[in-house]
Amino acid sequence: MEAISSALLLKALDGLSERAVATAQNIANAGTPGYRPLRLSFEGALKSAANGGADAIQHVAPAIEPLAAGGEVRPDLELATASSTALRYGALIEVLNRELQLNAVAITGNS
Amino acid sequence: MQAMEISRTALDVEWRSLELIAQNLANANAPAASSAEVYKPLQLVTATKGSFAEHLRRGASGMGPGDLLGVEAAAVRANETPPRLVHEPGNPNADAAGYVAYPAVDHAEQMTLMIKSARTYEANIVAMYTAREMYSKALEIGRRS
Repeated sequence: MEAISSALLLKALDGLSERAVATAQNIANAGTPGYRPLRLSFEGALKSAANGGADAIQHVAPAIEPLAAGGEVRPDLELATASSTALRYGALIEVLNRELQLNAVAITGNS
Repeated sequence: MQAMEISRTALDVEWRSLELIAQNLANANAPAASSAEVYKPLQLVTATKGSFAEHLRRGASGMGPGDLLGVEAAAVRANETPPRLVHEPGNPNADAAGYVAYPAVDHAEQMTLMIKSARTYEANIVAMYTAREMYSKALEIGRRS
């Protein structure tokens, strides 16, 4: 198994779990006056780092930024983000499990 | 488990906000002899949890997920709107001129706040459930199917 694909998977899992934290923060502050919703981005950085090899992937860190002033929390959109984040997280864990199973087959020779 | 902790702080804040609204509605018809001693409607002031100085030091762009702590109840503010004065000479609470002071509770405002709080509470429950799903999915890493 290529080291690069599991490094990508782990970074994506990290990013998604941090996005879940940021979304929870936005929903928690839905009623706070003057609160600016946070947005977390890592996909773009991860995509360009994927061409640079495992080393570049290691250095990818998610960026958290508040929306421009005036943007207020939309609980419906935040919940949609939360649910799609959870689904993508689950899907990535399935992929990771398949990889681990392939490794297990390679080690035991499927005996 | 940080996402669940954050949602938990919000559940606490919304609950306390609902308690204050219930208190306001319960006292809406409690008269007093003078404007000074009449019940004043209370409202919860919420603020993002975390030290303000710390946020300033780091700047908004230097924020990490570890700095996200949810929401907190910053203060309880009394509404200083003057009470409603009603002419009720027969009321035992009436002053010399026959006026009774009723709290300045705005029912429509309180109901709106209540619905808002209840909806925010629900949204946080859903967010907590979604986070819980993610954590339980993470426990499946390496499981043989």
